[in-house]
Amino acid sequence: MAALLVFIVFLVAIAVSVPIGISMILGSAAPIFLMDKGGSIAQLLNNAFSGANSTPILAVPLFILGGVIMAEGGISKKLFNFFAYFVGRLPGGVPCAVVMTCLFYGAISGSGPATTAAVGSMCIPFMVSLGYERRWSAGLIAVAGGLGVIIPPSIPFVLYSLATGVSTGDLFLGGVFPGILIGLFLMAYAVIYCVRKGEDRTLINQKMSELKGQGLGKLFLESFWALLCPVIVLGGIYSGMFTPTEAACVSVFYALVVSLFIYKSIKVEDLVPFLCSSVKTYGGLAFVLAFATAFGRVLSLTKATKIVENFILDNFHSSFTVLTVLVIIFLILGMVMDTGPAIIILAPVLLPAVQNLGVDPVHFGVILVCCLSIGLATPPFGLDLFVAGNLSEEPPMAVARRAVPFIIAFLIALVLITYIPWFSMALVNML
Amino acid sequence: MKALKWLDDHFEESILVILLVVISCVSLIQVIIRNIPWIPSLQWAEEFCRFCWIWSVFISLPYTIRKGNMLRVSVLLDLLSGFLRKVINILVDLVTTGSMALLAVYSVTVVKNVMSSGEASPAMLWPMWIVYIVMLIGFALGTVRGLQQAVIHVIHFREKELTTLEQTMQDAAEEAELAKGEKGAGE
Repeated sequence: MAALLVFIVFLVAIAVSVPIGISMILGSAAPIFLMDKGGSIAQLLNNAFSGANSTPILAVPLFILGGVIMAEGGISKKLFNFFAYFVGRLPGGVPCAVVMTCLFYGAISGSGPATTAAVGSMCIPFMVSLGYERRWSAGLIAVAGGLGVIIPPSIPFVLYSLATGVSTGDLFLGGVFPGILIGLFLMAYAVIYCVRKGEDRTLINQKMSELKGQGLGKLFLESFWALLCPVIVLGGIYSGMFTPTEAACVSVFYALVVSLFIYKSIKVEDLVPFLCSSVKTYGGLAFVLAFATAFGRVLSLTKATKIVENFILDNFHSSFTVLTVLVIIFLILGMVMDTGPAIIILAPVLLPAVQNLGVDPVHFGVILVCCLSIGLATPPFGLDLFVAGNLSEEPPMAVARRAVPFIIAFLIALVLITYIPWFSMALVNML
Repeated sequence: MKALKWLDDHFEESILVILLVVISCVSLIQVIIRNIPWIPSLQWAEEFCRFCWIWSVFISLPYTIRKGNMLRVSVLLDLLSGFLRKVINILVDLVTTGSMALLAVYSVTVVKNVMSSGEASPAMLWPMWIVYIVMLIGFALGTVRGLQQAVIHVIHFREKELTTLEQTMQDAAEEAELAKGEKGAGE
């Protein structure tokens, strides 16, 4: 009964647009006041306090700050030139270079909308100047920008790790192949489209010759510092040199040094706006993250977690069916809810049941993050669509229509990732 | 009056920014020192950063309440007429204020308990109430900010309010604007 009360109060509050953090407070306080169950308010506060009192959590604000600084560094163009050097002359090569840029840029910034904005502001005008359709280019960017949260270092994976205790390092590894797989599917569609529609080869070849003229050495040197960032962060974590939190801290200062002294793309006085924008980004998340610990305690005290687990185990007998149902739920949630809170709330409640059915926690985390990230490109609320629409000066819904084939390509990759655990687990098992 | 306006806009924000700078710098020093074998690692740094984050968590409450950017799901709300939407928004402000006030009251007891227990932090030996008291500060400020938002929403009841979709559009435009600036810098 108490469990039902918690769920009803929480879900009703969410539905009538009470902020998620406040909905959690209401949901946890309801059984205490109405039924004298689920502990006391003082316990609730102590649990919220210990939720905030954790070192791994510090990775979240630090990765956000590092991403904000790096995004200002004009790095997307350097990365794009580097990839275009290799594939630009092939059919569909330019859009493929864009997808690769998103893959790598995501590894630097760890945020979907930021990737879309940074890569799109440079790539959309460039693609249009090469004769690609404006709306199609924007659709490509909107979907590819979502790769930013799958390729490590990724903030959603840090959140999943906080919520479930699964190792951040393993999750980061788990995201690598799925991110690349999704990238390959997007590129495959882009190539098919370009071959069928035809490209303005003379114009493209002329631009690419200019690029070739700069020489590989120069392009490599320019993009070197950007390419090195994920290597330092991931390498540092896996070599045991630093923890994910320390890696996040290193990423902040690496981005700062590169942007200030090497690329000279920012000035010291720009730092205050960067700090403010980071604070704004994690401000909404900080309390939800801390109170989730208290809410989780209430859920297990009232046996709500157990009820969900039994419900799933009673009604689904294979991981195949349960994953299918959950993927559909996640996809819908991804459209309406922010990735962060969705992960923090869902992961601890659902993980015990799916683990019971033999799904690896890392694999489940990868599925969850992939599903929620496509929400960023799904109409009507996908933020990536609006960013791409704004950059291309086209209505977001027109961009959305052109993004549909890319979303389908993404979904096919998602099906493979969901039902073939190998993609998520191969690197984890290897290292 | 000008000072008051600045405090209204930036009080919590500036605390959060300072905390973020402190967290970044102290953890950097800690990482560096930990990787130099002949210097003993800084026991206090990790604890100090955690305490700064606890402060950030509870100060972020009044900040997000005032800025109106608490994370919420407003799909259903967008389907309603402008009038109903505003009424619900004011009710949500009041619910927020109520929750904050409730937790503020109870956090007095929690802080008192910690004070009388004389608990000290393991590494720095700080009295723990210094950390716990931020709960009281955060929830109390949250109550004030929630009430302030409700009053602002009532006063501006006749003005047009953005739907979530329009708000998203605006955020996206800002994001895009920032990125365009970057493009200029990159070339």
